Order: sequence, then C-alpha cells, then structure tokens
Amino acid sequence: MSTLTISVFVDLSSALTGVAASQLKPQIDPINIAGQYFATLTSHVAEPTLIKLVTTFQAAGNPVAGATAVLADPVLGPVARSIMKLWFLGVWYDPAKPTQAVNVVSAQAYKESLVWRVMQSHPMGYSMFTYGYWAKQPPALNQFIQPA
Amino acid sequence: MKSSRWQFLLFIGLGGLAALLAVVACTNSIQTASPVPAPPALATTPPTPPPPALSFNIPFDVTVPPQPPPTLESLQHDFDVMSWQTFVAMSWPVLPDGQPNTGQLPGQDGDNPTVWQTWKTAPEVFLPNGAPPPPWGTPLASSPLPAICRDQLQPGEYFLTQIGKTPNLLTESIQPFNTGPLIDQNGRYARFEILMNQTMFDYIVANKLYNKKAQAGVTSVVFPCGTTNPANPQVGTIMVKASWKILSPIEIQSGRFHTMKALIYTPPSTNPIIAETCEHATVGLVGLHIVHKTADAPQWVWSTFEHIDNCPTDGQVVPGHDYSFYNSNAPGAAINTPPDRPWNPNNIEPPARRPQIVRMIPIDQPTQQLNATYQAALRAVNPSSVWQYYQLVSTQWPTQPAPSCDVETSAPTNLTGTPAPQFLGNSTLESYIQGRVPNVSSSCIECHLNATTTKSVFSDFTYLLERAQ
Repeated sequence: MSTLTISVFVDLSSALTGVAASQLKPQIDPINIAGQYFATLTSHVAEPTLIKLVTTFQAAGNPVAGATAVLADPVLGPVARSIMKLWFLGVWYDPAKPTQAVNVVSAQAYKESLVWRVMQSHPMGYSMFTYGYWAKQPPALNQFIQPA
Repeated sequence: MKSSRWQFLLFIGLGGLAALLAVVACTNSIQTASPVPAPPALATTPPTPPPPALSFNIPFDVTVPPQPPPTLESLQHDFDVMSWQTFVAMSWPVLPDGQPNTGQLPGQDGDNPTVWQTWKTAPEVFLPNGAPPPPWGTPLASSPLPAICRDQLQPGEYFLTQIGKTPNLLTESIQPFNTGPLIDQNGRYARFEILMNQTMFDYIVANKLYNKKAQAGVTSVVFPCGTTNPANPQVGTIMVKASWKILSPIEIQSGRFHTMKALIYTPPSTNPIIAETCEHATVGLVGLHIVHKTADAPQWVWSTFEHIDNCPTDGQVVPGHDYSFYNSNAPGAAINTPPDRPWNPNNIEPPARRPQIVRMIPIDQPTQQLNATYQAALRAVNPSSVWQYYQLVSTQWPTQPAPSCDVETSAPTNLTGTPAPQFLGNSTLESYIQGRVPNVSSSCIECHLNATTTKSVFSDFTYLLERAQ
C-alpha cells in the first residue's frame, strides 16, 4: 500500500497535463507551486482515495497508461480532473461537484497556471515577456511545456 | 533542461572556477585575521567557520562548491557570499586612478573613498542633447554641471542630483507604482545616484546608447556578462544604485556611516514650486544596490545592502533605538506610506511628514549569520570601521538562468529565470513597494524586465537607457 508522495504527484500531474515534470517541479524551485498543489489535494481528498490513486497510476506500467487508468476509474476520474484544473487554472474544484470552484490556491497559483503557457501568453495583470512582445511571433508551444 | 543548469555547472564549470578563484584568493587576498584555533566543539555545536578573506578582487561569478549537490538554500548562500565579496571589493580604498589600493584594507585608517565611487554616474553619461560622454577616467569637475552649481564643486566632493530612485520623482504626477520621496527622521530628503563600471560604460559608448537618435537604430541590447576563462577573466557589467542621507553633526560624529562630501543639486520646478538650489553637505550611505551581470546569471545578480540603523523589521522594533527612517516613539503611525504632496526637498519636513519605514520581509537567518561573519572581519581590521555597520538584505538571482548572455533570444519563455528570492527590496530604495504580492511588491528582476530604450527595445534589465537625450 503506497501513500501519495509529491514525487508521484508530479509524475501523475505530468502525465495528466502533458507538461514536463521538470516544468511542474524544477530542481531548484523558489516558488514551490507543486508543493502548494500537493497540499491542496491532500487536504481535500481522503487518504484511502489517494492510496488508490497511487496504486492505480503505478500499476499500469507507464505514466500515460497510468493516467488513462486513473481517468477511467469512476472514483479517481473526477479527482484526476480536479488535479488537471488545479494545474491549468490554479483553482481547486470539488471532485464531487466538478463545476464548483472552491478557491484560487494563491496569488502565485494564478500567475503560474499552465493555461497561460498553453496559450503561449500571460495572465492578465502580469507579464513575463518584454515590452512589445505582442508585435512578435510567440515562441513555439513546446518551448513552454516541454523545453529541451 | 534549464532547471538542471546549476547541476550542470557543478560538474563542468564551477569546479574549475572554484579552483581559479582559490588561486586568485591565495595570491591577491588579504587575510584580515589569522585563523584562531577553535575551542573543542560540543556535539551539538556546528564548527565555527573561518573568518572570510577580504579581497579587492570583484568576483567574476558565483562560486558553487562541488559537494554536496546544490539546493535552493545552498545556492542562496553562495550568491550571498558573492554579494559580500563584491561589496568588500567595491568598498576597497581607492587610488586616484580608480584602482583599489592594494596596500590597504577597507576602513583600516578610518572611512575611505571607495572604488565604486570613481565609476561613472548616470548624469555624466547621459548628457544634454545626447552628447558623447567624456572618456572613462575623466574627473567629475570636467563634466558639465548645472549653472547654479558650476565652479562650486570642491576637490574631493561628489555631485548628487537625484531626489528619488526614479528620475523626475517630484514632478511626475503619475508614477508606475506607489512611490514618493524618502525623508529621514531629521526631516531631510534622501538623495540617490546610479553609477556604472567601465564594462557598462564602454558598451554604452561603443553602441552610442547615450544618444536618443542613435538608439533608433538599435534592435538589441546585450550588456557583457564577463567571463571566468582562466586565460582572460573579465568582470561583467555592474550597476550601482546608492541612497544617501544628509547627516547631522551628531551623525557625522557617530562614525557609523560611510560618508562623503557632496554638492547636492535640487532642480527647479514650477509645479510644484521648487527653487533651484545647490548645497554642500556631508552625506552618509544608507542603501546600496549592486547589480552584476555574469555568465552564470545573465538575468544579473541583484545584491542589496543597507545601513543597520535604517529601520526595524516590521514587528521587531528595538525600543529607544535611533533609526534613520523610523520613529520609535510613534509606533502607531502608518508604515511605508509616502507623505502627501507637495514634495519639496529644500524643506526640512516636520515630524508628521516623515515616513515611518519598516522592513516587511525579515532578513533570512543564514544571511544574518553571514552578515555577522563579514561584519566581524571588517571590525577585525579596525574596531571602529564604518563598514561593520552595513548588512546584506539578500541577493536575488535566476534559478533557471538563460543559457547565454542574450536573455531575450536564449530564454524567450522564461525571461526572468524564475528569481530567488521572489521578492526583494531595500528599505531606502523600495521603501513603499515592499511585500509579497506578484507584480506589485518589489522584485528586482521582474520589474527590470520591463526596461526599454527610448525606442521601446528591451534594454537588458536597465532603465538607464531611457535617460538618453
């Protein structure tokens, strides 16, 4: 019986979102958004469900198959979708009420949301680009989510 | 993988760099005190680190020890050490030619003029009508001064013109962020200056960036990073921002400030009405940003130092202590709030208009320990050294540095390099924008990412080029 660790959480999150684990939790990480999301998940989801999440994900043999198995499970699927929304929107949604946002995790979660990277853009009110970026072609999507 | 850059450096780069710097330190450093045999260590007591060597060599880059593998905390320490090494080297007693006096130590014979104070100030580089600046090494007295100050500059005197960290603070009705003048507990307005080293000056001159028309043809600005190549190591681009307070006779006598004689210019204004003045005064250093572009930190290394008497950390007031920018007898006053307009630096402001400054983010414990180590080393040189009264607040650095010196090209999706710490401010330079709110609170790299030339081209993290005429 395995408990969910932050390392497994990041691997699962990478498989669910398609974003490299190194982007979700960099080796040198001053923001620790993965830690914030891990704490959010473990404070909202019961321990037995988290154990089943780990077991199902790891039993599949590889991350993509694991994520597929988790999403297909009637109990774990809604949790997995809440994890995806957590990463993409920085917001925790109740797995039992999937359209109901509970809270924005933090100010950091807002600007670190993956949706901005997938859009090759930036949050409203916060830009990580230089002045005049709007007149230029944005970098390719892979540079944002799967950099070499 | 960018996030593994520091691991990568660990194995292929910094081992050699560490060896090189060890050699440089051995040959050029001046040890301040003989190693003292440590008392027998208790099981629970960590070993006492040796006192740091004081060197007049500005480090070329950060030094990361080969073992153990770096962490966020260990790298922060490495950058903090680099900050102190740089502060010591730049504060070294200076010869008339701008070189460090290698026969002396900082503070050895009392306060000393420093290396960085011989560098070029912004007004010496960005001249009226975009004129080319005089060559490096030209004495200040040869530079054009406002008519009211002309012929008043005395030998050994410096020239201060800036009333805020940003130019035109007093006359701009709208500021990009909540700001205002800094006024000390004597009611006097603090003064500011920005200086640059020769590497930066040469790049500006070579590319005619001092001239607004010439900037029109510039499509990219990439200041030199320097190099640790053992065959020809070079210090990269360095900028300095200094904040000064006009000292009272008692403060001058206290021997706690690095001081200089200054000719202080206040530009005229009709709205608000401010008389043009030129005043001689003794000023004391209260804040110092050192910003250094290196090969391993193309987003620059942002070190910030303060005088220890500036202000308390929020909630940690020492009762009865005489702070320069905080009144211990008015603990209920609003903190970090600029006084209402109008602002007139010719005035001595009454107590009600003196802002109550506090540090919002405490200095980290490891940084405090490093401060104590360096302050002790400076005290060992001279028990009454003014340099022992300065402290490092922190160092901001890119955790995912750009792969090359050209940040905009080589790191287009992470231009800031994810700085650590996320927020950093100096109580005298970012007094009113301290905190932990993204894009609102002070973060050196994130703010300076917005800097451009006069033609809106990214200017490599410096706002100075906007001053070109």
